[in-house]
Amino acid sequence: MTEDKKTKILIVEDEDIICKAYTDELRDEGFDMLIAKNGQDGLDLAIREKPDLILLDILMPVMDGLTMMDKLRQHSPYGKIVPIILLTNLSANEEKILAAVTKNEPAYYLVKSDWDLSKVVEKIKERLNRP
Amino acid sequence: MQPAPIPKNETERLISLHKLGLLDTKPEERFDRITKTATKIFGVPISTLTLVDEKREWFKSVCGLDQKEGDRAISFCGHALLANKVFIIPDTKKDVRFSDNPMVIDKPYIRFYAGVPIMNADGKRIGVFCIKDTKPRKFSKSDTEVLKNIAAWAELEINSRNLSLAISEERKVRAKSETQTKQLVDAKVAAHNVLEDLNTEKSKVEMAKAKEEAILMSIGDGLLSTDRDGNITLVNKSFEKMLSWSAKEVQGKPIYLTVPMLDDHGNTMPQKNRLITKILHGKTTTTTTTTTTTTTDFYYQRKDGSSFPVDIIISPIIVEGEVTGAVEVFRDITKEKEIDKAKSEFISLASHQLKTPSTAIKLITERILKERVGKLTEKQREYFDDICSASQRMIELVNALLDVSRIELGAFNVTLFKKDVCVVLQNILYELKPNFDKKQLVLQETHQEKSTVLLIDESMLRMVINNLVTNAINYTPAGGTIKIDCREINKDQMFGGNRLQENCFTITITDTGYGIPKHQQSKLFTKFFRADNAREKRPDGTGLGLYVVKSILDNSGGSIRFASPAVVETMADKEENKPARIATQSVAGGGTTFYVTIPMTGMRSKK
Repeated sequence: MTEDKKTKILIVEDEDIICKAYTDELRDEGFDMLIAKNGQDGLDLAIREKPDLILLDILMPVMDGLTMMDKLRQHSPYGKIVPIILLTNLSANEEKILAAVTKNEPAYYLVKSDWDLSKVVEKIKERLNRP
Repeated sequence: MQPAPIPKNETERLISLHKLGLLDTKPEERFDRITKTATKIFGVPISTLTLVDEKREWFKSVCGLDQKEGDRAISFCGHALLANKVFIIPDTKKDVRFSDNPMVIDKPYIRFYAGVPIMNADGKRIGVFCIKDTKPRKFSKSDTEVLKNIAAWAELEINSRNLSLAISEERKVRAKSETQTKQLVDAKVAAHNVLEDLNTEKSKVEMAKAKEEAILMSIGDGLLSTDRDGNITLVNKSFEKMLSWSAKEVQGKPIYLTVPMLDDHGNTMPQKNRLITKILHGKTTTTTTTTTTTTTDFYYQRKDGSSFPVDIIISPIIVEGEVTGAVEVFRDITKEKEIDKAKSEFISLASHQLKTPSTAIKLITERILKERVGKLTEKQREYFDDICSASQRMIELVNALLDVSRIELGAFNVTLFKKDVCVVLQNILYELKPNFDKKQLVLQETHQEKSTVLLIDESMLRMVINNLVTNAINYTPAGGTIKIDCREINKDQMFGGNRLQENCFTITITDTGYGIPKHQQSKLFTKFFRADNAREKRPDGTGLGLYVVKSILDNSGGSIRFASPAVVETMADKEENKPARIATQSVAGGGTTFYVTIPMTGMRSKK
């Protein structure tokens, strides 16, 4: 991270309030924020802007998060390595998500309701600082 | 002297004589009239109607003599008895057979005798009618005829009595036979009635049987019975409908082949694993049942190869202590399963939808509390704290619902890692410390081992311990004590009133709380169930905690039992004939102990 070039984070989340909460918090933390409301927009934006990290919801209209992750990973060398943190409430599909996470390293899996904003920020920073 | 001869048919003659019933009876006018007449007609002094028995000549009627009887041997009548028609001795002194006869040489000095044998109705000679004189006489042919006529009169008189007797006898016999006939007729009528009644009863029994059979056949659940070898002996209509086999097609065929049982994955279950095998081989004496709540499901395959999930109850048919077969009732539970699935899916989706707004509230509130958007007043901070904890509670409730739906969907995977159970427990207790402090509860921990590393699914175990300890905190009044004891207990040792089947790590959680009312104890692990006293103390519980705990332990090889002293107290009270309910209410408050076991070999997935 350098002073003149802010770290870019893409958040793909269809829930406005949740999206706003993360975006505002992360901006306050000094990140450059990109926002997409569904998987398709998120994929396009990721390919165009090449963010340093992606926060990705799973249950979304048009294209869900897991599909978007698969497509991005296959799209380009950048897509293959960009860190993705999955945000979801869907613990019922844990197995499916875990499988996706394992297949799509480097990806993390977070449960929205279980995490405080500050913990998520902590996790993001930790992930970004990894060599 | 020649004694009176004995006839050849003496025995029959005597029987006939005795049958007549005249011997040794009183004199009768109707006979005396005849002897008197004879003496007058013939101008003789003596006339007798004599009956000759074994030893005597006995006079039924006698005229001119004082005797009633005489010796048969020396009697004239004894001779006359055998005569052809008439026996006449004109002068006894001139007859060698009688010249020295005592009655000739002495009183009554008989010189003349004429006698005619008397026959009974059956033709047997029974006696003689005679006249006697003390001087010799000539007896002309006409005299003989007259005597024969008089004898015939006597014979008639004897037989008339005999006849009338015979008639009255006949009448009696006839009356008797009539009575008998009547009785017979009556008996016949009675027998007929009985038969009719029997037929009525029989048709009644048949009706009842037919009715029972109809009932059996019409039971909405599938029904079948087998002999001891598992061959089908009976199936009902529902069986035919559900499995598309007709009764005729399956009769006598082995159930194993006719109705294959499939497991969750559509594999045919081997014969030895089928419930009916266990029943028929006496391995299970109690009724076996599978229910929708068990994780393994059974399916029955139809004739066309398709299958449906079943709920089965099988019982052995026991005749005189021997298992002679099995009777099975089964139900198609496709609908129940669909409903269950729909319900679980609904909960899962609803949970997600419910969690999203709560999460939004939580995240935004967190930003406010962090004063990212401006300084807060004391009151504002207090209110936002309230909002934060309320949304947190909402999330917890939804999480519990999600756990339940996960359990019920079967999406319940035990992910195992080697962990120190004691550390996990310590962590949970550390996290819950504020809750203990808030209610000034005393926590007493005893650990037999410093560390026990087991294969566990930490999140599952956390759910179990967290739920139990949280319950203990919630349902124990301020100032109470909660004891937690952990130890390894070996196989066959007792734990919580139960003998352990294997070596286990055990956790005992005892509180001094409100206890569980006796009459609700059986429902404790039921989904959404909340005991009355628990509801009273904390209206906001989910009723899912213990259900989740039990489901996790059941599905991972562990177990849970509990004791609430209400049980003991209630029994003591019952002896004093107090109503159990009152007893329960009065003693609820004796605290509760939960006994949890985890196999030392680790938690295991039921798959």
